[in-house]
Amino acid sequence: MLLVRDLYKSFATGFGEVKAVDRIGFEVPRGTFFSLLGPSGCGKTTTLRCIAGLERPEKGEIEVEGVVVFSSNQRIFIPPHQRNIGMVFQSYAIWPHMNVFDNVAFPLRIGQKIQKRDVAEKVEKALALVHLEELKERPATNLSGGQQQRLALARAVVREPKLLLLDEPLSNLDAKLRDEMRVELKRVQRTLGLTTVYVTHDQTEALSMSDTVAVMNEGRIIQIEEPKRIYEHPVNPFVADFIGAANLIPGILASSEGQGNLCVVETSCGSLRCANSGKGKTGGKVLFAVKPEDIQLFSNPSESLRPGWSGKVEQISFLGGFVDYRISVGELTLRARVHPSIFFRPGEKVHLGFQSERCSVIPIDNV
Amino acid sequence: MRVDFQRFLFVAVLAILGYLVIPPLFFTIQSSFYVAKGFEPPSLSLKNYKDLLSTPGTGSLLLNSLWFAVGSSVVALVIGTLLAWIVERTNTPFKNLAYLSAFTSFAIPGIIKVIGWILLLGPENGLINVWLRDLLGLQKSLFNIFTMTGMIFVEGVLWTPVVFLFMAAPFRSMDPSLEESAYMSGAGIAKSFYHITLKLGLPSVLSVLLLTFVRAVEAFEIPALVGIPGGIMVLTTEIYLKLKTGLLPQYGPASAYGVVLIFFVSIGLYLYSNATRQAQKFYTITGKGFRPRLIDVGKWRYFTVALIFVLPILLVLPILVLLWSSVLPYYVKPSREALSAITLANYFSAFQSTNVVGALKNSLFISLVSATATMLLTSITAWLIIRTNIRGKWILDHLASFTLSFPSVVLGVALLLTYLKLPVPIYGTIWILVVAYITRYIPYGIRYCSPGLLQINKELEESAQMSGAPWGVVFRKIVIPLMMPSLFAGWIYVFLLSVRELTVALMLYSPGSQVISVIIFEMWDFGKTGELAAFSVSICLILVTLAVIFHRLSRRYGLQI
Repeated sequence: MLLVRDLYKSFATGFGEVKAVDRIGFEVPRGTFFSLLGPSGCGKTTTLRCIAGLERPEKGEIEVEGVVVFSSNQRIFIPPHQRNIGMVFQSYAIWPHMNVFDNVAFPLRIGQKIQKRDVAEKVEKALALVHLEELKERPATNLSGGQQQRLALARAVVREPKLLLLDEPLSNLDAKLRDEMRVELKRVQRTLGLTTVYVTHDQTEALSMSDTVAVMNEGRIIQIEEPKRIYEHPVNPFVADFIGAANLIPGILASSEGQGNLCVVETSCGSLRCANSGKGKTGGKVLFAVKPEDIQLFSNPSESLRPGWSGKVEQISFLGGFVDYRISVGELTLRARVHPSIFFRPGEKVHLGFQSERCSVIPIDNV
Repeated sequence: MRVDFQRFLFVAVLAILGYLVIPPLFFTIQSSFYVAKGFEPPSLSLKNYKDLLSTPGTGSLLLNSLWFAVGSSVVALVIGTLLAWIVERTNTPFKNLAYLSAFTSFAIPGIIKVIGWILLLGPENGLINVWLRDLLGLQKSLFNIFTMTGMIFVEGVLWTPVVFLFMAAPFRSMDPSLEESAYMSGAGIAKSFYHITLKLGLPSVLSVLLLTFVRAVEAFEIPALVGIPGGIMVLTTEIYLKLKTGLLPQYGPASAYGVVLIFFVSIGLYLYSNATRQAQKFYTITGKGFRPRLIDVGKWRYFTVALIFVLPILLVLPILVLLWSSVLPYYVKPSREALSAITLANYFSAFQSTNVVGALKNSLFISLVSATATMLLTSITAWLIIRTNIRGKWILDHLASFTLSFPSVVLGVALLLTYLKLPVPIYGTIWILVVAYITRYIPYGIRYCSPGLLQINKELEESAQMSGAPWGVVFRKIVIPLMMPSLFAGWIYVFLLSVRELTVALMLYSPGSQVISVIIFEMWDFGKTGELAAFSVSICLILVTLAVIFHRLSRRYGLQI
């Protein structure tokens, strides 16, 4: 459906050329939800804009539904208005001089000749899809943030585009609305069966909505996999750090214990066991990654089934559904996230248990 | 294809701007190096510049220009800044009156105000002089406008409203928390004012000073109407006389003076743009809608209110004296007997003259066309500069601001030379004025379009592209409608400037292509004071209406000079 091959785009800055997108490639099957996830400046928005045709890449090839829309070799560049791609912008880009109806009708009126009645019908359908049918006469400036967001979505899908591009569409909404819109966006995408490329720096959004996530950094794709795999088995420290606030403990990969994938990592505070040795070499430097929710806290070492560590509670943040602890173990500070029913005071001694099957080992030289 | 269309547009705009800007400069410089000898073809020589250096008058011309410019800009700066501070930072009432008079005063052609002041301060019959003589029982008049002091006073008064409008903005937008944090750091009101307010405001003051200075160097109305009769010549009037008196127009020497003037003005503008950049750096506008803390002036408010009334008084006095002269068959000072002689005869005779009606039509047509063309051209230029990354777009930027350094007298000479030499048959028609005004007002148009365009989120255009709209449709349906308020404000501004423009018109008009300001100038020359007054009062009425609209818009979009 969407095919991106060897895409390359650089920008001239005061300090010379900066590679915004550095020879990346990926494929998005029809009807799936694909996310580009990464910190700001990683090239995810530039990639999206290249697909849209708003930026012109220097090298590479982009194919949408079998049609080459850009190819540096064949010197093809189809301008954005001929690509039939819907796009929702970060600022929503609602035209303030038109009302709700006219905003959605614009893509229809601009393109091929469509009967007035058909325009109205399609607009109403699109507005109904995002639950805005009541507001169609409203001036577009009179909408709340969430309504503008829905309007932008309706406008992007009204032409039944081949592809839907979403550029950080939720970043301007407050937390509660964001959760709501996330579900809404996914619902609309699924209803229409639209192939979607989604750009975000928020791992929750990417993980919860996508079929496939591509984590980007400095213009390159670091890992491209389904959300669960990315979350549980990040391929390098960058992904591990970016995806979830994992505890990363430096150590040396000691010999595996023979049994399947089980291995031991020697750290400055003692050894740790992990069920997923992955690609590390014995004797090599690694990071032992354990998520805060995969650390268990006990007041008594005998409660722990596995050999664990002990440490001191430094700081507690009560966050409602769970409690966030910062615990010092030797020279390390680890984060643990536990249910509020388990309670420790600052300064108290605690024992830590690691769920070895949920930990991973990340080789450092893979960076 | 989008990119190719942009390139096409770029080349087209580049060609238009280049055509408007480069030939006038080229022919002025060229002509300054040629000397005409009788009927022989002109020859290349440095004679014009040598003459310029060796003529004893040149030194005094330069000194006069300098003194006139320094004097009037200081007068305008002191009064204007004080008023701006009073209006924006104190709790003095009648603030809107100050704004309204400033905008109205801007709309009234300079020549009308100058003539009003001459009628007020003339050494023999000036109304103020006559009254003061009667009141104090003096033999001699107190004031004589036909002196350097008189010139400086009137020019200063003319620029005061502009300085006021310019200085009001930084005073208004200065974040009060900057001063307040100085108080909290232990500085008193005086120390905070000196270390914070004054130092933050200094770049603005400096840039406005430079601007009024530059504009006074190239001023023409007052040097022509007040300076020439008083025997005080400056560079601009010298250029004018070199062309308009004598057997043959002396293009060579006039061009040489013109080049000198461009040089001085360019230096001034260069310093100005540096100073403004400094001022911008200190600009403390935040998006928050704060109101600056107002200083309670207490008993001083009687004094500050009186000062606020300076603006409307300076505006109304010259108009009132014109109104008085317009309703009398011949000029006498106001008295009870004179009241009985009141008549509208001047109004009838003024508007019966075909010249006058023709000039009104011409002015209207030229201003409409110039304003529309300027805004159209500059909106596309601004779009290319801001929105595209075409290599070489900086050339557009430079071309578009270049004519700022062309004093209007010099632009007049330059276009005269250009269309005498280029095979474009617009010399002697009103189209040469249209071309002249567009050339002259491109920088102003740009300054309205650029901020207007910068306010529009780029994604509004991109989402239209993604909706399937080609560039032309995006520009027509999205960019233009969203820029409309600033386009309209700019349009009115250019329109008003075109109506008031005297200097360029005076250099380029020919019988049949006179405009309002030229007609007034001619009437003054012929001593038809009554008809002149009637005509001027009518013009004022029309323009003031426009100014009120402009005022409404400009409070939102800011004055740009």
